[in-house]
Amino acid sequence: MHVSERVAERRAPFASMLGRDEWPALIALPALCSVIVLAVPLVGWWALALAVGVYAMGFRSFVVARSADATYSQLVTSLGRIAELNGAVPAGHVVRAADLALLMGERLELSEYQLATLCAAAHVRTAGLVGREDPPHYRPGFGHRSVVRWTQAIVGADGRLGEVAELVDGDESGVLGDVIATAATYDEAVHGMGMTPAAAFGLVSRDAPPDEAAVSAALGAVLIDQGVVLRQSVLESGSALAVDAVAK
Amino acid sequence: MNSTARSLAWPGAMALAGGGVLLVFGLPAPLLTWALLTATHVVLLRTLPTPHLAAWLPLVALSAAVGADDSLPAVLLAALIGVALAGRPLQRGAACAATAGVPLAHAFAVASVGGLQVSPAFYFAAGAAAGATSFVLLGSAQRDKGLAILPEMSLAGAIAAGLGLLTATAGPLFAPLCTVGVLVAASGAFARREVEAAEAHTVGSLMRALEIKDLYTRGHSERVAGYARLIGAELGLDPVRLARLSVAGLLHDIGKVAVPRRLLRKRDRLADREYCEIQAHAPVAATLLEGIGFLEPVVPFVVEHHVHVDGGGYGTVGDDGPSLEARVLAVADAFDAMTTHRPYRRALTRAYAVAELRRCAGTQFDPDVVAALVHVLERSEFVPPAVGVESDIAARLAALGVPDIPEVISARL
Repeated sequence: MHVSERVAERRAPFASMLGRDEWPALIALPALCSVIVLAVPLVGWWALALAVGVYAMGFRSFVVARSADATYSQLVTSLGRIAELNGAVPAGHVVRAADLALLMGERLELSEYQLATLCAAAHVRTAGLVGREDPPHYRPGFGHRSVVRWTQAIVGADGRLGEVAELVDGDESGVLGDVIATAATYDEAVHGMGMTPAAAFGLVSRDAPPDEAAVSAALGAVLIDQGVVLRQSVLESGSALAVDAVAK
Repeated sequence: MNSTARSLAWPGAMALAGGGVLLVFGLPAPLLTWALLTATHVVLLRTLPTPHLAAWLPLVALSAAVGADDSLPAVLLAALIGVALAGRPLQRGAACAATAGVPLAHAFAVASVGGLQVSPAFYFAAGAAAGATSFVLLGSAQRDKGLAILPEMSLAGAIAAGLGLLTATAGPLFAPLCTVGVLVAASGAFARREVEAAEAHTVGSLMRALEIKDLYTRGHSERVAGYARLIGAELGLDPVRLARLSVAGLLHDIGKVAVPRRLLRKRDRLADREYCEIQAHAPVAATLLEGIGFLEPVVPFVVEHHVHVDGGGYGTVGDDGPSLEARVLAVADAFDAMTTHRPYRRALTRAYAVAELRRCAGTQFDPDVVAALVHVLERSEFVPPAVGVESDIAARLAALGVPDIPEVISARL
């Protein structure tokens, strides 16, 4: 499967959020199929219609639940557009950085749930820029503290996006936050400052603290995988720690 | 495999598994059937990434073990597991407990008198009545959803009764299955509530973005939604159209998140170029909203509400001119803009605003809509739409430690 298709699939349905709250019903469905199998010989064919009704209703629940997830996914995409429409970030930056963060997350072998949260947070992290004075000043990563707070207020701390709201707090969000900040900084360096990919990687990896070497290495590996830069360029331009990690 | 294909695979694979069991084993033991179908289901579910997959496997095994034993303690334990599985609904309070509990109780009541030879149709009808009863017993918060969940609850009750009959006919072995069956049937109503919560969250997020950009615009949007709803009711719109109209009122200025704040708060007359920047908020709103499925019906209202009935104004509109909802929004928008303080002037009187609307009726505004607003205002019980935004935002932002927003201060002055 092509990378863009994988990214689109991961971003579009926000799928990993599905099922967490619906597992009781997921368990119950096999039970009702058992009813079908067991009851018909005992009580007659009307039991089959009964169980089919139950199954249809349960199945419909999942379909409806999927539409709730689709709504959250669409909201995330819409919030990702706000800063661009506001002129606060370069066109395409949010989506490019989110895609890159996702690929880096895959490289770091994050779980599906973490990847979905990562992808959503990467999209919404700039929404708080609407609160900045004109003209908004964008900094890669999570930006000014007040922007983070505004973003959290917009995303909403309650409901299913609560963990996304926590993640946009770049200072306290661990490796996921590091991935987003690194991806955003790289994209800004390439598309905003006009640096070459290799030079941008060198900038990102050299500025990264030692405990983020794995994240920088993931960026380097993704760039090599995607054919954006040659392996030799990464090895020549990155920090020693990142280069070691890439080499491994 | 995309999500649709994956969803369609569920019933097909289940049917195959059930049919396979029947063919190979004839009438198998409950435990075998349960385990096989559960395993099939788990394999299918594995295609859906879920971090809690491992957590509920032991529960499945426990339920299977209990379900294979028809002693009374085992049945009670199974019922307890059923209640645990229903934790989500029960956590939602008494109304939700009634939703699951009434059909459930009915099912067991039917089971207790199962020795009577009564037509299955009687049980289904009785169950449907029980489901409808549960609907009536729901709290007001759920009742205001209208009759939308009545069919689901009636069906849930019918299913509960049928399962109760099954228990009475085939033995208490089916009791745990009855429990989970009722919960599955009731889950449809809760899934719908999840959707409603997602939609409310979406509108709330967009509104919060707007209020962080410009507090006046948020309050204005809330009042416009209130006026629009009153006008729509006066015009006899049905509840669905009224609900969409209300949402359109809330989001009609959402495109202003992309308008520079200096323009939104400018005290002097706007230059032509600045006016063009303001006008851009309509297409920006469409860009923000059109990708959100449940908001698609309201996008035309938002985009058209600045188009005059004589074709003037700005925005895009079809050959038939602005929709009725857009015309309602236009009147509500103008009325609220005139009767509230703006950076460039103080609020005008209600009488002046009405006179101005009447003067522009037939050119800028729909005369019927203006007349409807006048009727609303003339009612003795009329109360202007309330706006709770200031206390709401102050509390929320303070809780988050958000720096004070200049607009909050100025709006209070």
